[in-house]
Amino acid sequence: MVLLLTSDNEMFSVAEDVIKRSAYIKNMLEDVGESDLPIPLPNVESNVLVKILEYCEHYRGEPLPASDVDPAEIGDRSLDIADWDQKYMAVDQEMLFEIILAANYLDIKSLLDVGCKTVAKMMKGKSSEEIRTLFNIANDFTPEEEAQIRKENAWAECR
Amino acid sequence: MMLELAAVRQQERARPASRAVPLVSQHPSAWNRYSSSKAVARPPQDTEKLPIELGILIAKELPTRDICRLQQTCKAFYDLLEGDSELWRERTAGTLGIVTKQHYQLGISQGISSGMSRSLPTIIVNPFRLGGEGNPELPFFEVVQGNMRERKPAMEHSGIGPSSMMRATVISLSIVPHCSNGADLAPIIPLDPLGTRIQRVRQHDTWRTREGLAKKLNLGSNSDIILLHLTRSSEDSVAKEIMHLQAGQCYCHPLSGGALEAFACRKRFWRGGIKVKAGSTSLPGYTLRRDHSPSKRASAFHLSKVPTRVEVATRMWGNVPSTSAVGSENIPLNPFTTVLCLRSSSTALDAQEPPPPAQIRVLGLRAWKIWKSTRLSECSAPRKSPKYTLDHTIAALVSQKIPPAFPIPIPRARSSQTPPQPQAVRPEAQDLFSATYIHLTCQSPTPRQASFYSISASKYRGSSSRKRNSPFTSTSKWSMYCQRVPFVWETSQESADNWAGMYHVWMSNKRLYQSGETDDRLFKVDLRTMRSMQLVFRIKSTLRPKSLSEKSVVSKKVEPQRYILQHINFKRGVTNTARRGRDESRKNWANWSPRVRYLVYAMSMRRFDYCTQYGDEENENREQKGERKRPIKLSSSEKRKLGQKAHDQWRKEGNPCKREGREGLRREWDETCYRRRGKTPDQAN
Repeated sequence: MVLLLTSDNEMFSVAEDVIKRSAYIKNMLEDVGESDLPIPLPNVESNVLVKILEYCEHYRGEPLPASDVDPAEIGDRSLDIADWDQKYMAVDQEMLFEIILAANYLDIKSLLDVGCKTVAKMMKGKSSEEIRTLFNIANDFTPEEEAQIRKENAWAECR
Repeated sequence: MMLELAAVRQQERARPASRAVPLVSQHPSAWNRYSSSKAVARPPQDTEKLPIELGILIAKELPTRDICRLQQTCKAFYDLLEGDSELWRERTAGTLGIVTKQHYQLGISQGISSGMSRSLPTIIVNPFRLGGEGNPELPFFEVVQGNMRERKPAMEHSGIGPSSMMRATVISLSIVPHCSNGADLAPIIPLDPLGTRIQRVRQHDTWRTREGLAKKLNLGSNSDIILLHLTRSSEDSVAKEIMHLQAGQCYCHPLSGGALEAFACRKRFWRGGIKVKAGSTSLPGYTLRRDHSPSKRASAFHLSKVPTRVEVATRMWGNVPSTSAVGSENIPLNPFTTVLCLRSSSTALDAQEPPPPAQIRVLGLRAWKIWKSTRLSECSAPRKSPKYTLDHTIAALVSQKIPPAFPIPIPRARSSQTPPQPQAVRPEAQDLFSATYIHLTCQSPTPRQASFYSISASKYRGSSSRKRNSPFTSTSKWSMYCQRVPFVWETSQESADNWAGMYHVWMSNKRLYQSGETDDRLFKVDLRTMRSMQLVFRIKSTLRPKSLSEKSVVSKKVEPQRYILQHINFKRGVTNTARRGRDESRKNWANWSPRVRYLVYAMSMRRFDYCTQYGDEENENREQKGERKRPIKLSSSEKRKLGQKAHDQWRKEGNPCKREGREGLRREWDETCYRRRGKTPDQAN
């Protein structure tokens, strides 16, 4: 069992084969070896870690995804997400970003991909204005700049 | 303590290289509530900032179009995405396949292969965006360099002469930028001059859909593909042409010889920082010149020294005039569309000329030249009027007394007198329409434009030795075309030996599109199912200057001298099934207008003489009784024999057109018509 200490000082005891999906933890265990001391996760809160562990538990025993990207797949990305992953990612936006952040921090590639795809799916097909509204992004372009960029990307606006 | 140290080490441990991108500090207003923007919902917390690298990871999952939209949301995203050359490299890497794979994957002839190889050096690909500081300048041609090296032996041709040109390749094109369903057709139908490669191309059925083509070329699903045969040399006109194509129209015409140049055009190709080596092309006789516009936003690369052949225009990206003459067709081009432009040397036209009407453009360069040469501007109506297309071209041709190869029936207004119904018909002429398929080369993507289908076909004489032969002796050579093309036009005033003809068929048939037939069906258009069709014939006369060599004739340097344009309206109500369609067309034959029958007759006279065989006793008796003859059902071998017989007779007696000229032909036709009405020409008068 591995002990994990979240940023809000909650302790989690997790099976090693579950948490080894995180490359971060895996490397740390390899570096340090077996220890009774908890692994501090200062960037992960307990509620997020619960979600992360839920994901890891679900994919327990499944092989880790290959780190190498097939060049043939480049340019042929799809936003298909597995059903379970879709349900798993059906959280509010705040939690979604927390999960992405945590997945990035813990280096769980598959979860990070799912998170990014989920966000990308939310963006897909939306206009820049809709994206701004959705993600609360401030438009800091000057009107001239915006006009110029719109002109450059005019093709993207016409369907 | 050890664990904390290990944690710190882990944090410092490098992430995978692809993710090692600048962090938030470089882009302070990067991301919604985590950003320092005033619009944030909550005060930013440093520990909760979403690293900007995640923005890139998310963007990488998006289609290119959405990336560009994301770019427009805020400066941080603009800088982030603009500066990520890896992102754009990924986006465009697949499209390079089109230049590296096409010439041999198409399964076309070696001549085309070499032409394509020679065109490779002019493929200018630099799709990478250069934005943020710290990104090294990407050398020009970096991506295609390897391929160029590989292909170097193939490019070592001794200059660019007509003898080694790609010849007689019909470039088909597809404009399906906005659709992604099964209706997106991207036909590639290269017609070899000898028709020998068609079968091989047919094997690539997957090429006939956009998705199939993209898969074949290893393109991303987001890639749009345009194969474009450039018609004009100026940059602006290229841009207009592309815009025109983008709007779902079609342009295609056979190459009339000459060097083909290909290049891929990219948005932001002209971005600053691209390293261009002047004279760096390996194409003999070409040098690369770069011109900067005053704003330094746009620059054009020119391949000079053979300016009429090659002018690589790159200003089209982002520089497409918004007030273009194409009006409603002014749709910006997707910059990530692969544009493979094939240009022949004989297409250098006046850049200052306004674009021709859409129909003329659809019909092709030759029609455009006709349109231009007939000086339609002298007419009172405005030139841009859409009505000023085919009918006016025909009218102008007729009014200017341009000698056609045979008399052209002048189109009549619909409201005029109803054409006399013939008492007898020539059912043999319908055989022209049986088993006649023409491949569709373009389909408009939207229902609004769906009424336009373009069909093209061409044939050329193969070589000078074959030129000397009678066209009838080269039946096998054209057999493949004969199967597909109903009108094998073998006519000329002087001789049928020395001409090269082509025609374009432009037809409108909304029903085919709406019927939702399969791709194959759409590509295999049965002429019997057409309701209307427009034919444009270009006939190259033998009345060419004797000083011109045979070679130059073959390379189509001699412009055609006569043109025949015809419009055919078929009777409505034909079915689209083969058998019923044939029966219907036989019925409708009687209702076709005289000029249509005349056209078919005139064609059938030369090429399908064997069809006129009636002579059995039963028919003789019918004729005596004044009844309508019935055609003999002939097997193919019998038809061949009869055809040979007709051919021998033709050789023996000579071409009636040649023998008696146009008047003789008209007289013969008139006599035929009047005989069937039970009158003589004198009685009719």
